[in-house]
Amino acid sequence: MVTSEASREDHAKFEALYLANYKPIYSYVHRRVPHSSSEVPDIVSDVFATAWRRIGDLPPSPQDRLWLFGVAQKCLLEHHRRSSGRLRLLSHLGAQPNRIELLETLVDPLQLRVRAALQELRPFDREVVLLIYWDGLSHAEAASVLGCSVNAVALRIKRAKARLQIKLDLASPTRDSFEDRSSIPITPKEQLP
Amino acid sequence: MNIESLLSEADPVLDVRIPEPSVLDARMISDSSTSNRAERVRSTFESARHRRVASTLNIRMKRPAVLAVLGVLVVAAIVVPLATGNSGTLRTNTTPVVTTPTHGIWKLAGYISQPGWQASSASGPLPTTQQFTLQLTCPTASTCYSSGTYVKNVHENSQSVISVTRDGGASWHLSLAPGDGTYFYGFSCPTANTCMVVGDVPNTNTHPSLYTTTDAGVSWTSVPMPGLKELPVLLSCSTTLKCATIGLVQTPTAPTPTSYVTANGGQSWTTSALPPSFFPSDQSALDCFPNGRCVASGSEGFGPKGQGLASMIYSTDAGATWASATTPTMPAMSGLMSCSDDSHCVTIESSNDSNGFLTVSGELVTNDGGLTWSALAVTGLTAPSASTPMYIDSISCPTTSNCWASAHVYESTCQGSCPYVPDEAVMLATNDGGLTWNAEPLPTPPSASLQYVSDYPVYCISDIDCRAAGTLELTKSASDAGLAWIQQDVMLTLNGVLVSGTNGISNS
Repeated sequence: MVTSEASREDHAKFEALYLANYKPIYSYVHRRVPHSSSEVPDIVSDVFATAWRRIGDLPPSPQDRLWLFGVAQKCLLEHHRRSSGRLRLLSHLGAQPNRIELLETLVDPLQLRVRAALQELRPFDREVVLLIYWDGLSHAEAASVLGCSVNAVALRIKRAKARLQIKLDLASPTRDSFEDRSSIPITPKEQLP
Repeated sequence: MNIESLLSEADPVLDVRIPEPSVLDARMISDSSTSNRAERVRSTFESARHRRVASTLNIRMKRPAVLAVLGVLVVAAIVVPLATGNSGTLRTNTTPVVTTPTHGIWKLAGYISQPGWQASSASGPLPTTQQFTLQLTCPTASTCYSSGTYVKNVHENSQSVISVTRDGGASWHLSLAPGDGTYFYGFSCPTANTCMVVGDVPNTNTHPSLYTTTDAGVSWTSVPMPGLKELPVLLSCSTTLKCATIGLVQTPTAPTPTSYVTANGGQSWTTSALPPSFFPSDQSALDCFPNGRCVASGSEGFGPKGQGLASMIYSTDAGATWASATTPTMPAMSGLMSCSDDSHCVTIESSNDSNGFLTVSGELVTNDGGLTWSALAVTGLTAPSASTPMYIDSISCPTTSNCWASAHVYESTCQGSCPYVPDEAVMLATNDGGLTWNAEPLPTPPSASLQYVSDYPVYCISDIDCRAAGTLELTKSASDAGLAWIQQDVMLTLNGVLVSGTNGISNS
């Protein structure tokens, strides 16, 4: 079959999009389903398949990356809805679309504490923190993905950092003293709301 | 170890090896999607890829030494760019030029939380209590209530609290602190002794509650509000018994705006529908008056990038029924609103600019109790530099001509892990009904190491008497010099108005 010029352009655009954004999107998805890492490639594939189907709607760079994050957000929700064995989780997802599942196998207790503290944030505050500090988005980009104002992002970051600061005992000046306290046993699952 | 570094290290993606993308993979997706073979493709190359990742993970979990080495590399990858300062773009300070006070003099009246602590050395003691103030209302010149997040000491959870002052802000004390994870949303104080606030524990299957004090904050009672998944975000009580709320009902598809009304102090509630074109946000506002007039600001939902149009609604029966107002077409994601009386209200509308930053899109005024709104050709509400956006945080209009607006200039728009650059608080005033705004000076911080990073919310009892919650943080130079990070909310008070000329300040 002869590929039209427009189609060739679409393919080239999609391939560039894929190469530039595969890792950020893979990371975005993995951060939100770390306990279900076997499903990450499927979800990522869905994200890009959706992007290909809607290649005509793709905004120009750099907005295309934010658009992809939005697609990933919807694919994650759809993925959770489809998961037949997760009805209990599904009821949670209405309020917590960005819920983080803790990796019990993680060896660093400090990281466990950070993730447990993240769990205690309000869902929207937590998603803002994740987009900024894990996904590397700017405040304006996070606002674009979340459909809120930059001001709301700034306010939520401020609120979330204040809460994390206290929860993580950041008054300690050194990491050493921090790690000393981290030996106190915690059970992350028990801290989940 | 700062919070940014800790968050970066806790990133679960650091524990996995992400496969390298290839053009071949992209072509397989596009080809398979075109021919509806996506599932088959995923079952081949994606699964194979996953098996490789899983295998790698299994090996690493069994080899702590390998994990430790990787951890060091990851930490180095984060720390080195920070140490070299090559982690983001900083912008120079470009706050509005402030000269002589023209509307009055702001003073630092007191500390909202632990009084008087200052910047300390990195090894010195840090403050043990502080409050981050989000809402403020002053029924009288001496009595103010503030709602915010309170932190008692570093080993306890932060919690939402109501604090009260009875001496105009010189001293504050905790008044309400449920301590059960409750967050406070709508907040309204119709008299000095009576105050109501909506509280809700997020992510739980519990009712929101209406907390009420009738003895100036000495004691509080709570009654459950209707519904399990409703979140009344706005509250306005015109009397000690009559309150209206506007909130969101969580549904599987989308949150639905709804209004609840009580005429007996929250003992019973009735539900009323809102016009479908109205959607409240964090910065929307609701104001009700004893004659039954209510006015609310919001937007027409959220379009692409969260953009919407300004949407105003009003009620003449204390919130029992609502109608859409005649509103000019104006981009808006939020509408900060203040009503000087039941006829005159002003809103400052903001929306995303071309760079995605929230900036002022216009100002709307009503002179007929919210039925019709008109746009003003406003000056002075934009930042001097487009590269440093200025956000309007709150507005208070004690009269039809005088308004104060608190704002802050966002000094750094750097991405990811960024060096510390504090924002710059700005206080704006108008005396021509909102047409022209001027920046007014804030009081001198109590230490050269500190600066005001925000000054919201602002609340005016009259045109010569206003209050604002200022937030102090370290200056950049103090932070660079190694002082410990602190933040504290203080009470700012305005006294005095312009008599004549630019230097004619009359302290009242």
